[in-house]
Amino acid sequence: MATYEDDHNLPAASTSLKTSRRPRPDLSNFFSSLSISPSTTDHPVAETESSAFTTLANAWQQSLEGSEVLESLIEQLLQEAQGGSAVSGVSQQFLDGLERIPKKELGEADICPICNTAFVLDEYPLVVRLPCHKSHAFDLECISPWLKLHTTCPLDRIDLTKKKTPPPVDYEEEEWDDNYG
Amino acid sequence: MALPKRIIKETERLVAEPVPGIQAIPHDDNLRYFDVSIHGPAQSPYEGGVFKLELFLPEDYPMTPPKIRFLTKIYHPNIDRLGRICLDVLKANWSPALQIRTILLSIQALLGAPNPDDPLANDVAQRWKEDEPGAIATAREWTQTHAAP
Repeated sequence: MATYEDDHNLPAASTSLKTSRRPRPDLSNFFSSLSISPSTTDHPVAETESSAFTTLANAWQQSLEGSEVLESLIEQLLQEAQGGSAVSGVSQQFLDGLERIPKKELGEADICPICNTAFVLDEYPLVVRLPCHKSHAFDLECISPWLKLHTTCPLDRIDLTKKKTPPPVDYEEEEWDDNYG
Repeated sequence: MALPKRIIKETERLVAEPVPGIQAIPHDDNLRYFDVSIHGPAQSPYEGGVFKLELFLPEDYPMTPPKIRFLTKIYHPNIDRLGRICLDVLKANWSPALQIRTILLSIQALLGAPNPDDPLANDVAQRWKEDEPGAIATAREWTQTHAAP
């Protein structure tokens, strides 16, 4: 069969030699790690992506021959690998420290805004309140995968990591007003 | 994989209590894929048109937003020629407390209030800013040509 070089009357040997000599990075690991990236929402995507970026960076490193473009690409990949998981969501400690709402305080009509199912339909509901507002309650199971990737409340988009303490509760102020008046 | 309860509930409600002017019907063989039609809002250049869209719920929905695209050609500064939509709640401002119906309402509202300052279709946005009556006339023509019910 005629090659591209034959058709265009080009010196075939040199170009094909050049390309075959350069070691090709093995990307199979990168793509396989991407394809098994979690479909179950319990695991944050960032973790697996981070290792995938590292793998890709390593793969390119092996085939590097002093190219500046490749070098900067590698650097960028490694930065993504490090930075990606760090900035994404809240820590496990934050999740563990969320205020739990006991079953007896849950009304029959109270639903989780994420799964749209009444909390009390679960025999042992595990419901947490976000610090942004006292009415912002979620199944821990529903809010966890979101907060592992984002730091905002789904209802008001307030960044939960910016304020350490919840805002003062209203009824305390009212009591004080009564005394004052 | 089994369909999450939330998707089943959303679908049931979309069918039982449809939003006025909006229809979303799941495919029999893929319950994550919806055929959507949105009626152009009154007093907009899209009035009288019925626009078809496709909507897909990705595997990690509702942690990630639904993927939505216009199938009907539309002249709008925030919708490009491939039907992709520039709408904050479909991207950075997505929240798992939003639903299919709220997203479709947002899209209907976007038809009523084009935003040429945050364009996806640059040429359309440019014209919208320089010659708004002309742009609106084109949008109306396209509605009659492509979105006739």
